Amino acid sequence: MRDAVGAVGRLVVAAVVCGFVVTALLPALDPAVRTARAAPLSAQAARGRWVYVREGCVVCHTQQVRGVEARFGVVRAPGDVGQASTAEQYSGQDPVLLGRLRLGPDLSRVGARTSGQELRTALLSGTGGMPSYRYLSDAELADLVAYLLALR
Amino acid sequence: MLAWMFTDERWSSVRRFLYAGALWGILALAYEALAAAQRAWPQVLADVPWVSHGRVVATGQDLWVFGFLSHLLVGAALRVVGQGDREGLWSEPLANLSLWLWTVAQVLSWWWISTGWTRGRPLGEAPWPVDLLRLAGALLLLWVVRNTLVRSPRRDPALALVFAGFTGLPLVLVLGKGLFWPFDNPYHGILDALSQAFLRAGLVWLWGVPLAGGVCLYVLSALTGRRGLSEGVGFAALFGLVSFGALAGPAEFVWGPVPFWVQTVGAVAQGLLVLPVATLLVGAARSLEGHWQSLGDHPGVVFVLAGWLALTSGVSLSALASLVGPSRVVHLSLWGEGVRVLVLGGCAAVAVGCAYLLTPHVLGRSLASRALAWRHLWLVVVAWALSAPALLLAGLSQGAAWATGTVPFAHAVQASRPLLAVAWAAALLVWVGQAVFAWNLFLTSDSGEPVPAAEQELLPVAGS
Ligand code: HEC
Repeated sequence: MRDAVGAVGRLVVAAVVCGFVVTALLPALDPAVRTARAAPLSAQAARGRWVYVREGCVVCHTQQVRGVEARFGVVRAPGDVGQASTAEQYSGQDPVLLGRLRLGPDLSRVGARTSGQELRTALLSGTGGMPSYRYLSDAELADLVAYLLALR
Repeated sequence: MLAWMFTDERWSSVRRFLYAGALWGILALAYEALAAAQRAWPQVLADVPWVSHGRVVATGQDLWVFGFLSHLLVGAALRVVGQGDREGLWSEPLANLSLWLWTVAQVLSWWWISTGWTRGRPLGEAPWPVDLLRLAGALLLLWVVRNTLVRSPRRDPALALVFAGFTGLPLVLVLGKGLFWPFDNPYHGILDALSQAFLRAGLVWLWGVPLAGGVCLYVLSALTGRRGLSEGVGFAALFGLVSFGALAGPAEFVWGPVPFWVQTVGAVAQGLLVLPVATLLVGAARSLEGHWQSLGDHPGVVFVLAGWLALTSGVSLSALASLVGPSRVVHLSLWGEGVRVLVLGGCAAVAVGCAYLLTPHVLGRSLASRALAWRHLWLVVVAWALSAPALLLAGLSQGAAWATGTVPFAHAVQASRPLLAVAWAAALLVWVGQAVFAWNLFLTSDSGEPVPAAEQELLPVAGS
């Protein structure tokens, strides 16, 4: 196996590095990605974002409106899912919260279609398929709501 | 204590990795069953922070991939690699050290993710100390495997696949999680999304599948004395797997907010992955030709074949779903979960089947109860037959309702609750099956029929 081990090792390193460069680094040069940073979040909304990360809201909610569903999908009223997401909208985000499964509605523009009070109800009531988050402290809840309102 | 932990007894690390995989599996599949229950009935344990749904899914995935699947695969792979010229592994103590590093890592990540310390990247949740421990373990394993394999006189594509997996894992961890910059995530914005996708695809196609493929080709051919794939075809499958697998990540973003050419690369690579996976399935089946009479009554063999079939159908379905038309409907829906059941479940079934087949060669005893192993197999097959169609159907109906542009989103999801309840029942069956598996391994090591030393070897087969 001695010769094969060397060859396979080099092959795997080359394939994996090429794959990574092509699919995850080269896109950085694409003009659609390389744009100004999105408007920063307020300090409170940034704390709220970490509550979102910690509680794993990303497991059930995406934050990406695909081109094919933009201004067309219905969360409550026709078209209220909002416009298509663009790459630049995510600039600077860490971790990015695109999500890959929707059990709940897309939240990219939730701040534009709801009020703080409605958001509180969604998080606390535990009706309609969304688990309740009554264990969050008042401060955490306020931060989280501020973050959600900033998503427009 | 230290002497016990780092013993150089032959196959000690193999045994421990297999036991660890079986035990982590019980926990991982319990998490999976709980997550499935919460999908069907969202308020289950919603008021207990560390088992609220978001954390359960994150912890469960981590336990599943790194605890359950990885430990089982590594155990089986080390046994196969160590056969070589009968000398065993190049260093048992080092292989044992990597087991302990991974054990500590797994306990920490279980604890931390449940209590809310996470990086928030699906399948890459674990915080940096866990990553570093895992990387150290992976590098040690690579070193041990490399030094063992270079002693082996024969060239074998099955062992090459195993080696590809051990080379792939550290690369995927370093690049996909940015471990060259360990304490912080070096990727931001859409590049973070793309590197997350690379990590997820890499864990499956550059780690799980090459290991499962290599181990099962080796074990089946050693049992029947017949190689299923010629050297050329075997190496071609390896090449296809690693090169398409490294490019397949962006298939997650069809129609999404990443440049169109990247989506195209990902979708094409995802489609091409069908080829190497199907080739390995054919290889496994061909090495059984003419031996079905004698081996077909071993549940391990059927487990391996069922696993490859599930894996092949899963990869075909995900190729289908990344096509532009179908993806419009099923993308981001529960369809993806159905595919994951088949792909990851198939991979794990291959690992479990190999573990059943390897007991005489690892524990020196033949499997305590084939009847229990058959029950395990049936539990898993029934679970797939329930949950994969239920989730695929739920995804289709959810996507179709969404595509009408008239049905509010939550209604479509609400309508799929009965299907989610079916998926929960299936998850429960898999969990019971896993407990049966672990019990059978325990019985075997405790009171299985001893096997004569000569039959404990697992000699490689000369090229076909
Ligand atoms: C089990 C999956 C699940 C999890 C986890 C989850 N949600 Fe939800 N969420 C839902 C579902 C389902 C709905 C739709 C409820 C309805 O309208 O009946 C929803 C609705 C919402 C809404 C209302 C959206 C709208 O436009 O009406 C908001 C806001 C929301 N979720 C935020 C969150 C946040 C923040 C978290 C994390 C703390 C979270 N969700 C976790 C499933 C989930």
